[in-house]
Amino acid sequence: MSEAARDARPLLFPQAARLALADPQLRANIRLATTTIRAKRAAVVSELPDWEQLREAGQAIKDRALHGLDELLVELEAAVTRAGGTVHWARDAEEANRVVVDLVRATGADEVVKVKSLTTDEIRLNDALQAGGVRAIETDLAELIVQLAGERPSHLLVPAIHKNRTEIRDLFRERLGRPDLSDDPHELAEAARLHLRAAFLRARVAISGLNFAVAETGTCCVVESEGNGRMCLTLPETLITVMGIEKVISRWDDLGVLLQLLPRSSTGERMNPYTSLWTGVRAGDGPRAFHLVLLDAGRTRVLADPEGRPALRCIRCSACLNICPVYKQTGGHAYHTVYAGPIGAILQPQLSGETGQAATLPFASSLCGACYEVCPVKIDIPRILVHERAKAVRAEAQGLEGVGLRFLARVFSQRRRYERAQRLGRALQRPVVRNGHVRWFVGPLKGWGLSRELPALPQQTFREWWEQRERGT
Amino acid sequence: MSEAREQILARIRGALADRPAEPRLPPAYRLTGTATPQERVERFAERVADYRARVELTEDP
Amino acid sequence: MPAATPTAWQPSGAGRWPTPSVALFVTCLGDTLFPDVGKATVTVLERLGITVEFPLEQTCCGQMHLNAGYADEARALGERMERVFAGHELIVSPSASCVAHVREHMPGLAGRVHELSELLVDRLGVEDLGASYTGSVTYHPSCHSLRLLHLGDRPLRLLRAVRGLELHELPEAAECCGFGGTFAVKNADVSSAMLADKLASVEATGAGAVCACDSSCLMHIGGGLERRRAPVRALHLAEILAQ
Repeated sequence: MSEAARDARPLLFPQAARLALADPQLRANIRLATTTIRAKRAAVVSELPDWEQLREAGQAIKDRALHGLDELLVELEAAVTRAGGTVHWARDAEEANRVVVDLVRATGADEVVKVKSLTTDEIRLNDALQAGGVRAIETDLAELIVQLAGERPSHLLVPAIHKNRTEIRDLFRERLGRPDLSDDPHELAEAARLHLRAAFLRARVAISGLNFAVAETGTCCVVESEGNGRMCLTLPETLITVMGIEKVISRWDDLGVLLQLLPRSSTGERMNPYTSLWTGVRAGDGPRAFHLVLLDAGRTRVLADPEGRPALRCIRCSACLNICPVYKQTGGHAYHTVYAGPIGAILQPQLSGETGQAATLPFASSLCGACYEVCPVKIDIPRILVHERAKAVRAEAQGLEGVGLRFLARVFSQRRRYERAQRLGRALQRPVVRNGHVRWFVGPLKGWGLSRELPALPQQTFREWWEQRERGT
Repeated sequence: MSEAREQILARIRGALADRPAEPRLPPAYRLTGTATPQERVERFAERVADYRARVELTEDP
Repeated sequence: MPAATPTAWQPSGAGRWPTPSVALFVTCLGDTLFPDVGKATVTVLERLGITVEFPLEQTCCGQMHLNAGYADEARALGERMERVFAGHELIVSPSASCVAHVREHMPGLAGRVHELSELLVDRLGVEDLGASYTGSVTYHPSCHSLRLLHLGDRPLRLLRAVRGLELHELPEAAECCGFGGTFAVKNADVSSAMLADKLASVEATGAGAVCACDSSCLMHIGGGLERRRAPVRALHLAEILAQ
């Protein structure tokens, strides 16, 4: 879906899902990709006899950081500043974008190279840069593809999962001016490499996110697969890094646990190819100026809800997306957010408020629990989904559903009322029932009737049978 | 200090009004492996071969 | 149906035990829409010489309301259920999802409530119930039974002991069937897509019946099979064990 179309009508999840389900190419791509990566993850996780202890440790590391967040951010700021970096604080997306655009323009550069960063996608930094006369070149291959196609990413980790090789070939032929290209993956990668190499060598400013920021040492950490991050973090004179405040961790040693959890959970690898760690600036090596932007943008709102707070443990591995049976059917676009899948369903409503389109996300789940099983930091996503649903129900009237469920609760609250309702149901169903099955699916049952039959209420309830038996009749 | 900094820190403190006095510390995790040097080399050689590296074991130079 | 009388057949492995009585929590869905599941549960238990009680005040545990976001209503129903079953030391239900809900949200009942296969295998030490079933069956582990109750292979052990039953393994068994409570209608399109995958797995086994420990999943899967006019029945574990 193009960005313009997406912004014009943010579809509620059920409608967005219906659109996605009607796209066979998308569904086939998602299915293949999720099946493959699930198997890879399972294989590398099974190699570690202490995987469950690692998850416990990961959970504790993130919880400790969240509970001491104010102190850690102050400690981080001091350490980064001591190491020659500059720290900026941004309360919301607009403030962060203003800071970044001003920093870029101060260098005189009209172009930046970017490392893949969900945080910068979240605040729509590229749009702000463009409005400020600065061109942002995405250097991650999949982000490059998505950018060339004028779209939004559809997966946390594999943003172009919805595109296949042929579609990419066509895109490169047109947008990279390479009519000669075949769909051979090596050729496509080389075409991207040549295009990007030119950008890396001329870039004076790079913008990145990060995976972890260590308060103890002031060290920033980027975990990546392709090496474009390494290029961006080391070549240009000025590096600007935008981080959500929840990314800070306390101790250097904590990285030992998190770096075991992340690659196995995300790409199903024992270790990812490029992990970059830098602390401030260093004369003669890498950027001369380093700026770290600490971003709130709703995170303190999430922090304030003890039940919803664990969502901030997320290390953006996307294991939950890959295992989710709903995501497997719809892909990420249907969520209309940067953070899709199970984590998106609990994070987005908390960041932006449980109303409107975001309020439909916690309901985009069958509560199967597979996500909780694979989360490397043990976020109890199903529990938070139910919590968010309750918030959504309190925030906005739910129409007929609310009336119906509240009525049902009253029926269930008294035995005689319940038994009367059972008898009444049997009587009232007659017009819509034939041969023991519902024939007309009206109201809320319409959705059921899409793909399923529904049995009629039987002529005798269990309790009626029981009472009859007890009476000896 | 900046207004943004003060406001964010204030928001955090307000949000964490329920934070435990004693933070739950991560379990003590081992910082070194238990394998012998020989085992370590063998495992490395086995795994790096997964990445199509050609491995040759030599004696100490 | 006449009251079941203890037969000459005795369960193996458990020896004799003082005949316990058990209170049946049949669930609102079971009571109203799938009474045969409750009847089958009674048959299975009485065949073992257990006295079954049915507290008539029971209605609903509140799981659906909680999962749909109506927390206050769910809490009230939970408190009511705790009162209804207060005097019963041992409670059994044929619904894995309801048992999981009770265990999580009703501390007063958590230690006393059991799902049927848990009761049979763990508490009573019985796997062979003297049942016979001629036909092939595949077993779908519902998400609650798998991830919350950790039923593991208890239902399979019970099914394997059924004379004449041919058990076929379900491919991608742990994949959610797509029911999910109100999800089935609020997100009917996705629910139907997930169902289609589950039906494909079921049909791939060639089994004549699909079995589970949750009537909710069976209503959804069975409804899909019927829409397709597939020659596959959807049966609750209790219904097979009562044969």
